[in-house]
Amino acid sequence: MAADGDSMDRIVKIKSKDGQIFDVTLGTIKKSKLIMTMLEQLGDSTDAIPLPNVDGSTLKKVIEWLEHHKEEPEPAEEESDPLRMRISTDISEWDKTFFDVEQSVLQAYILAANYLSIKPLLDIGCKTVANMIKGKTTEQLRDLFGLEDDFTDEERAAIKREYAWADDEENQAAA
Amino acid sequence: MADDLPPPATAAQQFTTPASPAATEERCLRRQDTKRRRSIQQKDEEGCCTSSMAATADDNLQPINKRFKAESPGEARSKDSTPVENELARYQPASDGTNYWDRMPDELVLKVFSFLYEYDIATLSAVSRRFYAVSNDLNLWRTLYQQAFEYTVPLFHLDNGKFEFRDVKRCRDHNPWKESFRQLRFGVHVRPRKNHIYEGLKGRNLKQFDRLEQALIFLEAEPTREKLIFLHSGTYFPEPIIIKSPVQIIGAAAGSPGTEINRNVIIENTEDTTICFMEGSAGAYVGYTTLRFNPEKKSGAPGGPQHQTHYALCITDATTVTVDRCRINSTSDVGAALCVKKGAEPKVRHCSVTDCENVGIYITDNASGHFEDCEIARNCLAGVWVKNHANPFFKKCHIHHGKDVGIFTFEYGMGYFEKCNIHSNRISGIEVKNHANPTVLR
Repeated sequence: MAADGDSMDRIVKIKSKDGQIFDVTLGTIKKSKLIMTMLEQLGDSTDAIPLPNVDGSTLKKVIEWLEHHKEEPEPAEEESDPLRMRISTDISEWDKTFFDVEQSVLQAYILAANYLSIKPLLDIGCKTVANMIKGKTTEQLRDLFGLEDDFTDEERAAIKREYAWADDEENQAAA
Repeated sequence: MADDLPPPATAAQQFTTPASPAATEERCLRRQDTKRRRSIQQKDEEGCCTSSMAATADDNLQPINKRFKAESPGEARSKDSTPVENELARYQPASDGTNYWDRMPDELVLKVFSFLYEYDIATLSAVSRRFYAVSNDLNLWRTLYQQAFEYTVPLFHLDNGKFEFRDVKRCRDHNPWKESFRQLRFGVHVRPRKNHIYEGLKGRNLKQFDRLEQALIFLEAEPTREKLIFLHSGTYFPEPIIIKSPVQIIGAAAGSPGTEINRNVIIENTEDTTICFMEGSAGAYVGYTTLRFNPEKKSGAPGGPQHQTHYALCITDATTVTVDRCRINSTSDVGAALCVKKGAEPKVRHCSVTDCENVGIYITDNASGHFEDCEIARNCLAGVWVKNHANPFFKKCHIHHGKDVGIFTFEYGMGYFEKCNIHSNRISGIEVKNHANPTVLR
């Protein structure tokens, strides 16, 4: 990939779903694997790169996030160890504030990070949602996410049997 | 990721968003086609699959009523000040009626779930059909399972003292990792310096210790808890372990269950008997572990240590202990590696007692027991000693290349040896002396 010092100042134009065009430096946008791949394919073209899956307000925030994190190195590919503990509590204060938004906005960030292939942003977004889930009851989760209980009675009974073990933790296991 | 799906034979309890009304009626709903899901990591770089994945999810979600209930507690209780209620109030679904999750492809839902632990995932699975389907992902559970238990193959714990590894492909459970986790969840883990995997995590309730002795003391103080200890890979040098309760100790390591686990879990003592099962240990179990007595100083020198009665494993008093897939070894030049005495009746299966610098198995004083499919080989003295009215039953054991005799019965030793392969022992295969009376069947 083009990654030498000078080219990091190169301006890249990206265009949101609603036609807004943003000028970003290559150094800022390089964490997006999608855009880096498209740049390779486009060669020297200076046309704005269309991003039909991301709206302008989301893209603006994504760029803000990238700007703030642009000096941080790409995380090493530690994915090779599938048993690495997935820790969700290691979110910085800045990121916590960034993700302290309505659910629909948070979801838009996650979908944009996924589409643009920005792994660290996607990870923090998913961790934020995971942290919202922790420790809640089934009913609280339905309320939180506005989900309907769509099981039949038989299914509900089967799940209760299947996960009966998850209710006995306080009786059996030590705190 | 979905290559190791079990056969759909017992999918009766599986259900997900129905593909057709007919499927619903049969209540034998097919698992959501996890093969269509791809892990985030495997997703192609172009990222173009997102929209198609989202479409897939939407198709599956057609029957779900997306409307948010008017009487939602989230709204009604929003003035309360608990943190949960505050969150509920803040995270209202989008005002246009679309649900937060509907536009999230399964792979992203799964990625969120992958930051959670088993109790939260159990809770999620009861939220909705879609969450149920995603939360049953085999890879999700395999990761949770292998972080905690290390096993490459899921271990089934059918009864006290009964353990069985089952190949995922031949498992009848639709999610063998989850089922095994359920069965093993009360076991305590001995795994030095790995506390962060087990304790202090929301949604996980497992117990961990650095040392085997700590786990045994803990279980003694918890009489209602199942006495099960996972001894994780490593070499342990505990104080002499004396067991007087039906505790189950099983090695936990990655690799082939039959041959690799017991090579990676080693308990050793250099001064005294490594493990001794005594009265009160009826029903105890030790499996998939190497037990070794490895004295630094040899006996013999005047005033030196007396290792005649120090063993890698000693089973005494009228107790029934199961010893399964253990490697038992002693480098002491006196005594034996495994001693069974005083009316003990152990079940010793698939064990190896080899390369000892003395006797392999010493059975005496009215002890009996079953020894099945064991290898007893290359020991400096006899492979097996049977003495003083001991009457063990050996079946399908392989007793070979002893540097002395294979089996030595003496001083009223009895024994029943069936279908054993006894060969290549230096002096003789079976020696009978001083009123001994063994029975040998081909």
